[in-house]
Amino acid sequence: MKNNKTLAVISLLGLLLMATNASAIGVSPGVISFNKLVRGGYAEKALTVSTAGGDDLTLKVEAGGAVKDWISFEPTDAQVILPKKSAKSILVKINIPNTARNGQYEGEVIISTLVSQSSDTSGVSGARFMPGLIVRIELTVTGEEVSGYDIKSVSVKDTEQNYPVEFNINVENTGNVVITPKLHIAILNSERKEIGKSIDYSEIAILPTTSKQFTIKMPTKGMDTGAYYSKVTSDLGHEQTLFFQILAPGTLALRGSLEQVLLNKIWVKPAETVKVEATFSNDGELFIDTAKLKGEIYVIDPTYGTKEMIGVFEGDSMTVPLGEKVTLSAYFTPSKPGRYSIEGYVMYSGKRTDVKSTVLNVLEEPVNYTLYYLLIGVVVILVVFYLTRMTEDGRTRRFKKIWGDYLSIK
Amino acid sequence: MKHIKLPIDVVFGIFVLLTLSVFMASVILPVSTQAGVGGAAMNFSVINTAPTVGTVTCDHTVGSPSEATNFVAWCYAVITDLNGYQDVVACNGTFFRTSSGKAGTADDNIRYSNASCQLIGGSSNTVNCNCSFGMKYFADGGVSWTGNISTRDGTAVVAHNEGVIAGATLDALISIDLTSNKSQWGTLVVGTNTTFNTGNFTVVNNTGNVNVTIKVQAVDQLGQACDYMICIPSPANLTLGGTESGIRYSLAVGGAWSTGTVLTSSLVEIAGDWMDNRQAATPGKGENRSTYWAIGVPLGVNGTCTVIVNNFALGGSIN
Repeated sequence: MKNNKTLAVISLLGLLLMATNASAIGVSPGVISFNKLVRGGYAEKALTVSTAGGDDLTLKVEAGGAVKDWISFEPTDAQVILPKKSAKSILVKINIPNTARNGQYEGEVIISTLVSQSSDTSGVSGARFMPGLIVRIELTVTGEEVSGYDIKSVSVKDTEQNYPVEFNINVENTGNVVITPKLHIAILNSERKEIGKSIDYSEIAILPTTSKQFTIKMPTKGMDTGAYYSKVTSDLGHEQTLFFQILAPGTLALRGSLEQVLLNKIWVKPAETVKVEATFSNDGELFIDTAKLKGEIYVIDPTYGTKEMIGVFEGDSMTVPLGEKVTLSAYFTPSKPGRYSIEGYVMYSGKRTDVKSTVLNVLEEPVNYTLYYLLIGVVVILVVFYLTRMTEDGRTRRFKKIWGDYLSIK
Repeated sequence: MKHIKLPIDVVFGIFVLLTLSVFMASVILPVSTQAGVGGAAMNFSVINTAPTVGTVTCDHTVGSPSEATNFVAWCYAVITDLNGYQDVVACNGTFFRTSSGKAGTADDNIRYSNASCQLIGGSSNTVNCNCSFGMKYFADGGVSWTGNISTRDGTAVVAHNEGVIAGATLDALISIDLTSNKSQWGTLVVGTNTTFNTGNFTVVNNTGNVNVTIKVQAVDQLGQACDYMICIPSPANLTLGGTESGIRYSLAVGGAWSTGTVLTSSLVEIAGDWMDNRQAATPGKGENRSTYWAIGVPLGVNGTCTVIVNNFALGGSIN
């Protein structure tokens, strides 16, 4: 017996709490909450799991709570490897059964860290401590269907003649049912007037709580080269106008952009010359041999905000190497006070940028009242001198006589 | 009929009064200016008008916040000035927890400021103000944050506007850093217990942006709930949760094994909401807590016994 007890003691010397390196893990958001879900509905949310620690982690992700059967994950792997000092996205998908009753439900996403299979466990005994995370899920099922979406972004690229123009659109479903956005794109000329060319698009279905990015291609057959605008509208009233160009075949490699138009002074007097500058960059793949700043001057009516063109300006031509940014300039001298809109664009190698503008404030010339003061002063002195002189009879001051005459007439 | 002949003195006096009237009128009444060429003339004066700040939109960089990782939040707004975008000379911003208000020190927990935001993309009478804020990972999460953008024009006229962050709240980050020590217990005899001492403990540090609570659970190598320590070689495993055996924990040092809380295969909260995310102005760590572990060794156990203890963090109350 004594030998057995001793044997047991020796063995238990190995029963230790083993040291581990610091093990760190985080998840965001910490709570997943969906209101106004419907029976048979769907919702999803991306969790970001991260670690700033120095070890790779093996994670096990599982659902818990009363609604664990409604929850699934993407990726679907039973274990997820999270490399050291990294973050990874796990998509939590929630499918509401058709038989679910209205009410509030709770669930959990349980993220635990597994002991690494590659770790050396020889001689290890005792308790090993691992970090984990629990994300609460709060769901509210109602009978109310909510339909709606947001257009998060719209963009368009220049194209060459006879090639389609592409619109890239990102739409988010903000409701709790599947939606199919109805979009309409109309093409306008450089003066923003419709040219009778348009397209309707309603081919994308988007699940609730999700976003989708897609491309709409519109043929440009029959359209001349030049600058155009496109008006993108939706059945929910969204509206956005975008600029693009149709270029001659083979010139897409020639591309420049106008960043801004600015003045060296924005508060001036009439007849004071201002310098108009434009920052232009060569974003294409070819050398630009001529780039010139051109523009128009408008005077702004402060009451109605309308503009009236009063002149044009043009600067000297410059070359712009690949990848370079240059400042093009021109000059303008306002002749009268007022507020002016200076609208400029750059012509380069037969192409044209969009218009950018700035505002010039021309103050009235201050009136010099010195001469007025002098004249008034002289007149006042003369009058005073005259009125205080004696009359011809030498007995009365003139102002007394005038007053006396007035009273006698009265 | 008597004709009244005005004396020349009176006539002269009237002339003087008329001259003075014209002078006074030119001072009091606004001066008309005429602008425009070749069209209808418009009469107006050019004066400085105050800038206005449009809708403020705020968000933070995609994929954040992450465990113990700082990130960037940003707010932007379109500023309009009828005197032209170049008359807008500066803009600055404050990003703050909505309930804490804009006024106060920028302390990295509830308030950040940027005294020189970027003015970009100016055209006609509008320019964009972009404010970025270097956020610490422990800035209060799960709550609403508001951005305030203020602008100034060339004559020092100031305007400002506010807007809440996209999604209404800064995402909550539940995050912990767990450290356990290596200890020597010395000679153990079956049928005896260890005490809660400074040689056997784990430390959990809050590296997130919300308060957390901790739940513990015994599991096996596959992460499945487990009621015993597996001992090799057998004959018997070490049962957890017994009155004379198993692992127990305590938040205090010095007590006997019997005073500790039993570790089982069930998820049990160690204590209430007990770990704050906020940190002092001097960089440091969020609140951390130590847990002490002791073991009771029953008769009949032999060999090398192991178990895994999961420490789960979940979101606690909001500061």
